[in-house]
Amino acid sequence: MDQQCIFCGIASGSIPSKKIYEDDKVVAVLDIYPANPAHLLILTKNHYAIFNQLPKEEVEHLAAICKRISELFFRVLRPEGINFFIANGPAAGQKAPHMILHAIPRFSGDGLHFDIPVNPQDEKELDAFYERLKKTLKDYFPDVDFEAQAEAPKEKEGKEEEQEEAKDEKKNNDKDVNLDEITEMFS
Amino acid sequence: MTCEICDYASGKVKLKKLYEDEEILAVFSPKPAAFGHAIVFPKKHLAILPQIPEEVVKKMFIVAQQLSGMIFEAVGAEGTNIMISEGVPAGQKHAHAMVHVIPRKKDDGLSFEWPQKQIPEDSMAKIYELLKVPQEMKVEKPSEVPKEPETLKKEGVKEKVKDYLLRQLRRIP
Repeated sequence: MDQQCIFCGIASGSIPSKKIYEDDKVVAVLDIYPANPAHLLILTKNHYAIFNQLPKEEVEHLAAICKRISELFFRVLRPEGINFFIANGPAAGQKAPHMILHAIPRFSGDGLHFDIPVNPQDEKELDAFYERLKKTLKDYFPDVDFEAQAEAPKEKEGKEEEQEEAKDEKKNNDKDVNLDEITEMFS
Repeated sequence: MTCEICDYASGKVKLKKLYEDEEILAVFSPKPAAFGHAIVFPKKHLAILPQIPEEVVKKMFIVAQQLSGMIFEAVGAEGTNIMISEGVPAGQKHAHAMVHVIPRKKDDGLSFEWPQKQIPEDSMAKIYELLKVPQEMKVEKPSEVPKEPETLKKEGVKEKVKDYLLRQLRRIP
């Protein structure tokens, strides 16, 4: 914990906030300067300046929390969308020296813009860059065959198992929000 | 229904692979916001996080973190954005979930900033009551420790990248 850091203060509770979730590693609080109502700040209790400093265990934990916040939002708030957002470094829009995962519920016409633009790129430059990067990639991911075509996801063998799963999913959906609604928006 | 991202996942559209295992794939985005923009997605056609198994979401985050560090260093970026968009108003283009890793530089023309809204105290209180359910939300300690992919153990390399990132970040006030 960093004594100077207000987000450490919020995470530890020494600075009051509206906490909607807390466990031993993270808290999720309502942002008092939100982009939209119910904008949540997901903060690690340990002080990390940027996402890349988080140990594996905490990254995985954050991932699980993110999934649950998404479920919670879709069930309770019924937004039309959500943005999850992390800025690493001032050039990326980071304002405070504490890693923050923003969860922002979205509604059409809410005036926010997280659309990711498409910009032209020099393919040759990318080819050369990729060749250079491969060395590092191979260090990180020695089991990956970078030359091979990507392989389609394997189909499960047991058909019954799949049906069982489908049933479970259906049950969940009935109980809560119908996730199909979200997917249907794309068609 | 055809899905462009499923075509990436099946290898029908060949892209520059950054990571692959049975469940997820990471590639350089063919529609990049910036040079070195990477995307990490499940191979199965799933639109949003609640539909993706927790173990797969965890892996997506781990790979996104690793790529963020690697690409940051390799392109000489000054920052990165990690983003997930769920739903059309959030800017999601395909009904196939993905994590974006976007290298950033000052004056790169991108902006994901937002104006701050004033929310009246009583509305804040209502939102708080509405959301403050979630005992069920608690993340249980995983009953079985997932096998650590060999690939993620390269501490040496990781440390180096971290240091580099930190040097870049000293400018945060």
